[in-house]
Amino acid sequence: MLAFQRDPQGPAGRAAVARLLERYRRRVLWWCLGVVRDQETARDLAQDVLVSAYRKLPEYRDQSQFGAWLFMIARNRCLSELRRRRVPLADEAVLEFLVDAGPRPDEVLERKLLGQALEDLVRSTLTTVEQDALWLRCYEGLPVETITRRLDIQEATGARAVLQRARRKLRAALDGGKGDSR
Amino acid sequence: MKRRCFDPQEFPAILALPPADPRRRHLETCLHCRALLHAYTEFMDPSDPEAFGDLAAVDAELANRLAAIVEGGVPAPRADAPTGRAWSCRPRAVLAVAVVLAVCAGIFLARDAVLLRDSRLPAGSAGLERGGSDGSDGSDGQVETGWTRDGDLWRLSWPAVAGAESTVVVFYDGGLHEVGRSTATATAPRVLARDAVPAGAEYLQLLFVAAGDTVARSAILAARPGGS
Repeated sequence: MLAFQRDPQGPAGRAAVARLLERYRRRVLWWCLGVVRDQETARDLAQDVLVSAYRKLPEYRDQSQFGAWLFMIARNRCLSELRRRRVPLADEAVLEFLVDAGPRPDEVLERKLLGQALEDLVRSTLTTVEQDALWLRCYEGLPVETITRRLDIQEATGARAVLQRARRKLRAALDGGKGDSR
Repeated sequence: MKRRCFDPQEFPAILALPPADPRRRHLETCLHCRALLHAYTEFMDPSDPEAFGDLAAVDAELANRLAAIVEGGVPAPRADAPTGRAWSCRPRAVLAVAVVLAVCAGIFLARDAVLLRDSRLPAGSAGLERGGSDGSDGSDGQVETGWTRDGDLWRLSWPAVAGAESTVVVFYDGGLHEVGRSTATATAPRVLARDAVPAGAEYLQLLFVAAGDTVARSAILAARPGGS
C-alpha cells in the first residue's frame, strides 16, 4: 500500500496494487455473486468494485482496515445495482406482508426501514435470529443459503423457514395493529 | 441507519470494548449494525464460496482484466464514466456498433498499409519500446508497444509475435468495457492510426492470437495519445 502511495504508476506501486487486488479479488467476486446470482454480472460488478477501489486508493488513509473499506464499496455498488435493475431483494413471499399493490417490496421496505415503527415492530415480534435473517435478506441482499450458514440455522429448510415464520409473525402483528397504524 | 450506527472499519475496536460499553451494546442490539456486522464477516470470511459452483473461468477472466488494468498503468476511469455493462446488456446494439467500427478500422488499416509501403513510419521512433531484438517474444507474455508521432500523425505499431496468426485490437471505454474490436491477419501492416480508433474508445489492447488462443498481449494503452 505504501509503495502504491509513493509511486502509483511505478513498478513497485503497480506490484503492490496487483497483490492487493489478488488478495481481495475472490472475496469481491463471491460477494457480488451472492447478491446478483449471475456469474457474468458478478464478474462485471466485481471489476467495477475493484477498479473503483483502485481509483480511490490515493484517498485511502486507514492502513489497517482495507477489507472493511473495500467491503463498503462492494456492498454499496451491489445494492445500487440491485436498485438500478430493480431486482427483487426479497424472497418474494417474505415481504408480501408489506405490499399492498404498486410499490415493490424492496422500495416499500426501504422506506419503512427509515421509520422507527417497523423497527420496533420487528424487535418486539421476532426472535433475534428472525430479525437478523430478515435484515440480511431484505437490507443487505444476502442469499438465503448464505444467511443459513452465517446464522448457523439448523432447520431443515434453513433461513427460508425462518424468513417465512418471520413473515407470518409480522403479518399477524400488522393485522392486529391495523386500526392503529393505517 | 441511525446516527449512532457504525461503519465496518469501527467494528473491531467496538467489539473489543467491555460488554457494558454503550457502543458495544448498540452494535449488538441495533438491527442495522448487527446485519452489517454479519454481512462484513461474510465478506471477509465467506462461509462456503464453493456453493456458487465452478467459478474458475469467471475468476480467471476477472484476474486477467485486473492484471491488464494494473500492468497497463491505465489511469483510473473518470468518475462519470459509464459503469453499466453495455456490452452484455445490449449485445445486439453493441455488436452492430462493433461491426461498423471494425469495418472503419479495417479501412484505416488498409490506408496505413499504403503509408507503410511508403516507409513513412519512422523506425525506432521515440516512445516505441519493444521487447527482444526483433521485437518478438513469442511467448504468452506482454508485448511492448506504444504510440509514435510523425508530425500530426499518431500511429500505434507493434512487433511481430512468433506463431501469432492474427492481431486483435480491442477497444475499451472509460470504464474498461469493450466497445469494439478489429482483427488483422499476421501479414497485415502492424500499425494502427489514431484516426482509426472508434468513437467512445479511451483505451485499447492488442491481443496476439494463434489457433484461437491469445498467445501474447500488450498492456492496455490510451487510445488517443495527445488528447482527443
